[in-house]
Amino acid sequence: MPTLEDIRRELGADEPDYPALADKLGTDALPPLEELVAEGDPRIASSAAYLAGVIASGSCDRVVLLALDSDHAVVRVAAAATLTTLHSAAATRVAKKLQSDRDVGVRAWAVRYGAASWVLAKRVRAKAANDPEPAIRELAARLFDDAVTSAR
Amino acid sequence: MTNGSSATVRLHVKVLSEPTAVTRDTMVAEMTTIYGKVGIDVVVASTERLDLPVLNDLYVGACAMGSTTPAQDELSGHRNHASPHEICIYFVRSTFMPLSGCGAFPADKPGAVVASYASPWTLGHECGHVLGLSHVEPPHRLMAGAGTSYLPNPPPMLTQTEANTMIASLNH
Repeated sequence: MPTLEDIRRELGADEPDYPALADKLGTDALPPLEELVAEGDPRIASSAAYLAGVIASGSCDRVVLLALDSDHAVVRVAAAATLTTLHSAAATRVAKKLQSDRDVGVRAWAVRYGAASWVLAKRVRAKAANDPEPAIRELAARLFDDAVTSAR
Repeated sequence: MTNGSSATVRLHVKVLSEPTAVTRDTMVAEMTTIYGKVGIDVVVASTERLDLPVLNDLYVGACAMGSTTPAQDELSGHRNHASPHEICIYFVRSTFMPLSGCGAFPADKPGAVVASYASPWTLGHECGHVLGLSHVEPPHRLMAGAGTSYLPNPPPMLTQTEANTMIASLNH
């Protein structure tokens, strides 16, 4: 099993190969990924949070919750990657937190993932329509209109 | 072009977010030094700020040349002042998936994105991709696949073979 330092170096590459890393490391990587998110370096923490989502295990909840509480918006954005892999109850809680984030970019990613999820779509759409940021309202209108069009 | 140089890279800088790990000036200075050693000048031809909050954490998909996302296509449409063959560099807050940068661009709109946590050499690395270079194994090279954050002996280098590829791309 690679060490914490091995994983840190892999995630520190300019362009990590996340699917290959997920295949190579598997769910055994979740505890070190949690440590890397906790350390707080925005570059490594965001990569660690994202990789946890790619590993796609229900037990990545701890990593996600840590990422959602990060002071760095880029880490909270990366947590959005887990929305498609979490169990629906957990995904709903995470989406709710992301959509209430103070940062526009984080909220934008909650809308993007919400638009792609039948579990989250209705709730995400309703909240995004009332977002104070015009760019979020426009993004939601575009994404949800596209979803309706493709479903026809 | 300066004496002895074979080609010039003209960059048009578009800033959605300022980098936080190192300054833009540092990244440009490092790129200028590395490229200069192989006969390529670097010029920042223009700088512009863009207010695009929903593109600031840019979805880049697999960051694959020839296969850009709608978000990359939308961002790449912002090319004020740039001629078709000149490179636009978009400084964003992050990419999704998290990368230090991505050198994939839509056809006929050469450009790259650099994330806020990029290394001093990410700009030069991503421009290398735009000019036709692929990743290499040796860790002391600018185009090292392992990335520019753990260089054994910075600054990294370009080979003359790589430079020839880049010069041919610039002079095309």
